[in-house]
Amino acid sequence: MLVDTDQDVIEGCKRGDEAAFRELFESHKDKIYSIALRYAGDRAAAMDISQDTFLKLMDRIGQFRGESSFDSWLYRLVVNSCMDYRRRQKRWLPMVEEFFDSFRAPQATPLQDLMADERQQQVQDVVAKLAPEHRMVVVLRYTEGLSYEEIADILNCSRGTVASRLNRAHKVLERRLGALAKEVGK
Amino acid sequence: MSSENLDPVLKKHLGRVEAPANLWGHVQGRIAAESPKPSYWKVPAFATAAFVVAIAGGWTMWQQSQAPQTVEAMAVAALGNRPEQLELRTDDAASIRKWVRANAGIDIPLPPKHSEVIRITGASVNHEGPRMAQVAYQVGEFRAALLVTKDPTGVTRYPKHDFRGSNSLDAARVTSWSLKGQAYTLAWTAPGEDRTACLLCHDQEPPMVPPAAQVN
Repeated sequence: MLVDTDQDVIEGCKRGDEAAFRELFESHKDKIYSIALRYAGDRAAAMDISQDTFLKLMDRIGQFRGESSFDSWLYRLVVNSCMDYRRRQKRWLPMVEEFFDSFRAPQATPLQDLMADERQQQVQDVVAKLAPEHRMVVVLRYTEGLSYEEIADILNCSRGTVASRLNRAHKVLERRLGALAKEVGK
Repeated sequence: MSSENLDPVLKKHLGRVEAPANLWGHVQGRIAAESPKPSYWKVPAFATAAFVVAIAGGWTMWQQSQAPQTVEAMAVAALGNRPEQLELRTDDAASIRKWVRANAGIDIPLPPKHSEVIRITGASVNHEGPRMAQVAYQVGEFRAALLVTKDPTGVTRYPKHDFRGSNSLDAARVTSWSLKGQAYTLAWTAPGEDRTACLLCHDQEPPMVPPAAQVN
């Protein structure tokens, strides 16, 4: 559910009031960091994305005209920062994946690894492997509890597109999380 | 897992978390680093935009043509970096460990005191891509660079050194290993099978490095 931020604080930020920016930061830091963490699946990356988002916020708050709610506007900023992060990663990923593929853990088996893992990390890892557009819908839905309409507004797509992406993501997650549950249960 | 079970699982495990307490400090640091911005408004907008596009395009093409294609090549390239190119210049191992952990989320197990033959020059982290940190140091008169990468694939959780192999590349020796979810690539310029570069982390008995295979 979107909650609108105090107009006075926004106006203060537009005037360059540091205390107002701090207040805005305190109100939204957990939301921004959580989306970044669930999207990127990595704490250090989540820190980078969160910083980028707050820098964008400070830089662009003068452009916020109140045509949509502040929270929708802020969600768009964090979504853009996540996409920017993905673009930066894309260039390097093949090289790093190839590098790590050449390593093999000689003793720990996947099953041992799986059992040693926290369930939360498993779920997060599976989500992190979803296609980026599916992942973002899942994060906005389950981390933020947004409605299909709210997600559609943030991502600038139709409600039907949101439903379709979520449906596809569910199918992939059911399959992958189901496989993990079976392996652990063996 | 059935679809009716999926919703509560996702709600439970993907919920909100608290942002780290140091996030505000990092945001302030970035603000300080990126301001003040130059007054571009004085320059005609079209000329500025054209200039920025040309520079950005050229920079991207240059970066793509210059970027090392492997992690080993990156480690060797790091040997050629000048000290002033390092983000953190200190010989204090504890400061480097703390700084790298804060800026890259990578913990490099540098002991607070190391062999006298080792002199640390500084460290940098990669801001444009995978989590990667570099520690630059001297081993006597030779240069060495240790690149540490977070493993995004989850295949390297083995708690002991798992050597991938050693190579000679552009007159440097390079060896890679994984340990507890991080991969390490060490490049150094000392000749032969010298293992003194390992003294950065191992004051006593460095792990056995496999013999080098000539690549270039």
